[in-house]
Amino acid sequence: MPDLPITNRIRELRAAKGDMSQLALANMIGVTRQTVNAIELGKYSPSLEVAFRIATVFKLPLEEVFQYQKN
Amino acid sequence: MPFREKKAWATILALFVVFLPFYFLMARTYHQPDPDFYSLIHLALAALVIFVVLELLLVFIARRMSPEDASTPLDEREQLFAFRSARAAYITLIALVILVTFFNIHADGGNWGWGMAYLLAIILSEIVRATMLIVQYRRG
Repeated sequence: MPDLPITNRIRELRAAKGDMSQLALANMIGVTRQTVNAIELGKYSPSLEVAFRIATVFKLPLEEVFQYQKN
Repeated sequence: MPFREKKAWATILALFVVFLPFYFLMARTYHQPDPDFYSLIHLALAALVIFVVLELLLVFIARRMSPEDASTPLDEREQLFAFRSARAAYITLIALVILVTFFNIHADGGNWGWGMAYLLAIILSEIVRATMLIVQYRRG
């Protein structure tokens, strides 16, 4: 259960991209593996810059990676 | 466990190992009828040197245990953790310094006693900083 109103599909997208590891993604976007894990679990909302970097890795628009839950 | 969490544990461990016996010895000496303040100064200097050496040693061990983590610069989440911890430590330090100053005005502790009280305020604020870091890393 995420703590923040922002959810994401990073885990699913990593799996679709040949089971990309959290560490591999972390190295590509310039954060630690623990930070990728925290983002995936909804414990931490990344900055806009990191969010765009993640979306760029998956070659998707931002809104297809991150979703804002109004409630 | 991330390297920076290990580093925070190292700080807490080093502070307790060095300054707990130091304050125990200091309090015992301080309450003697004719305390030798020079020996206390030497004791304080020795405690500071031992603390620095012990913390460096523990951080070196932590670095060896997580070499990749240790060489990675702080990312934005870790910077946020560091900022929150530093803020909590700063508030603690200010509160304790005000408290010690207040008692300093209303009680006669002697220069040495008040100096040690201010040192304790710094140590406690450092413990708050390291504890806050650990709690945040544990939460994820």
